[in-house]
Amino acid sequence: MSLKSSFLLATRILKPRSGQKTVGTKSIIGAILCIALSLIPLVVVVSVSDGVIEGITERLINLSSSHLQVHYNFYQDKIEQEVLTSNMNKIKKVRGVKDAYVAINSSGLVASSYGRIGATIRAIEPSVFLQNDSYKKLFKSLDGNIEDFSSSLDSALIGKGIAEKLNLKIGDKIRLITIQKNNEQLIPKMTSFKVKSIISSGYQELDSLWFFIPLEKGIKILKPENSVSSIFVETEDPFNNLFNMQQNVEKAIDYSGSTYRWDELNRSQFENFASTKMLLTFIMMLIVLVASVNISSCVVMLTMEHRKEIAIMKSFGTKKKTISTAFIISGVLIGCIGVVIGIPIGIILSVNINSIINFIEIVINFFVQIGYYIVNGNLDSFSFIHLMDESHYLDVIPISIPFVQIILYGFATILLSLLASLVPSIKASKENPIATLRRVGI
Amino acid sequence: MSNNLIEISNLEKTFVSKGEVLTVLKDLNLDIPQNKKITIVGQSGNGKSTLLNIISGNDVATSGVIKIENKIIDKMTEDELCDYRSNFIGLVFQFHYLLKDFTALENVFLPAYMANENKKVAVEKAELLLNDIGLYERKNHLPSELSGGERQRIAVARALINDPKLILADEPTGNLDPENAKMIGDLLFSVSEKYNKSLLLVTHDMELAKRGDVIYRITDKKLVLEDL
Repeated sequence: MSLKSSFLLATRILKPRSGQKTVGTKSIIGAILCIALSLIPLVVVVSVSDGVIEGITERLINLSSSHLQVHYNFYQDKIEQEVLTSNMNKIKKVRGVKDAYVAINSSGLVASSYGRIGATIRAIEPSVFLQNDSYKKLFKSLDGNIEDFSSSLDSALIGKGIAEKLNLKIGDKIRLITIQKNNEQLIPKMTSFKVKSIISSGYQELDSLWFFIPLEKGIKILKPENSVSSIFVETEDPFNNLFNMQQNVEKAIDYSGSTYRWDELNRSQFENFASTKMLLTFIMMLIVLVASVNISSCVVMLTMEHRKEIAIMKSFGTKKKTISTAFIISGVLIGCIGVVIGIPIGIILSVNINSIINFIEIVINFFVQIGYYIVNGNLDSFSFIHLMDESHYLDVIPISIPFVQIILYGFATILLSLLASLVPSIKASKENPIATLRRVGI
Repeated sequence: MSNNLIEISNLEKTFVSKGEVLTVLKDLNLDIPQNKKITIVGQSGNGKSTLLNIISGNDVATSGVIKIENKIIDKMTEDELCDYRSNFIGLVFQFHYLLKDFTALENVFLPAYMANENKKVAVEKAELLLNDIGLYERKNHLPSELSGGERQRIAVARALINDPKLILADEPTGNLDPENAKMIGDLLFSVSEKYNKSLLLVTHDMELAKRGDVIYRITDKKLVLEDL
């Protein structure tokens, strides 16, 4: 069997020199479009899901859990700052540690004249916001100045979500309600703070909970039984060699605290991301599978159209394999062209997904506004329609193009094209030449 | 061992259509020696083309033995049959049966290329043949750009590309005007002479048939020598 001769046949099947537009030519275009169109959402989904997971992971690892956490239990009534500070200094000296800071986490209720809301309280040195690279990079001040956090002990930095829900502005006074034990009784303790800045990390889940207070104040109002006293450790590479880093840190502090890695602290969340992404990809691959069925019907159409040519070639001794290979190559080429068109379009759409969604939002709102105006005569109570729910995940869709994964999907699509063209191609090669020539004539 | 290219003995071919058995050929015997020009005449529908299709391996006999250089055709594998069709025989049909999306040159070199011949060699051979039949200048034309006679000449060149021992021609002039019919007749006899090929030509044109070394007529489902 000559693969080159099959390839020559395949190219003429796909692009006839006679230039005739037949049903077969139309079905080729249809099959190519189907493959391309099915790959576009697949590429967008994997790019967006990878980007969202990376974006969330970056914020969770660097802001929420940090790379390593060392927890301390204090059995007296007081959090011992000296213990935390001295161990933090020891950790900072460990090779591979980028930064370390003391953080006391607790939960409580934040109350304003507008209402009350649950919050995650984190007491840290105000300097962390100005010195830690991750905090500097990932936290944005939406209102006020982060530097004012260090101005007084009653300063508070609040997440965007809390600010919106409690309608808070810079300078507003708020009360933080925490629980304290007194003679086996739980007593609420109220502390006043002043909003110095409204901050956002871009990850809605964190932004809706965060309430930062100065460490000194935190030690005063938070009790060991209702809070977690910890040292947050940032390493140079949170994705590699973290287990060894964990051991080095434990050794440095003489095993005085319990150390946890970020992947232990966020395990369920990351497993959830992975399974969601796998499910989405599976659904998208099903679309590609359905599209590849089009290749099968296209090859059936082509074999029917080229019955006479098959019969002629068989009559002068062309082997079945050469003919079936020619049609298989045709199917594979259709798949390849679909991949070559679909993947770049998918990548272009992925890269511009935020602009595209914004544009669609503008167009939709434009027409809805017209309709609203016709019905109501004014736009006073019109509320802008957001296609992306702002309360979900990240405020902008981050994109991460997984090129290796996309190339693999491309190859999988080509493989599906090959499988889809297999049966009709083999069937075509079994044509009886004389019977066909009698039937189709000249 | 005989010198015959093909030996056919007691060949029978029946067709079954709507429960009715129709015998087209019965007790047919034929030897095709090397370098002989054999012509077969007969009325339409009396089995001439069926005989050629059986000899070319494109159809199967109901009974009887066909030996190709002492090898029984029925015992050939699928691949051996393809090799036989590709290299042993050259087929010319009543219709040219050129591939519409291939140029004259491609139509001629394709059977060689399909038979694993190097493309450059196949093209050179095809160009020589096109030159022989006087259509070298038309080598890049599609069949739709050629006249009926030119198409049939290309079909003759295609039949010769793999240097077959036997040319099987099934009413090759049946679809042409007298001028082109004569030209194709001349071409078939001249090329088989020039390249030392055996020729088995089926026709209802007695003038063309007379140019054969031996003339047979299909009568009563058998081949009988035509007495001129």
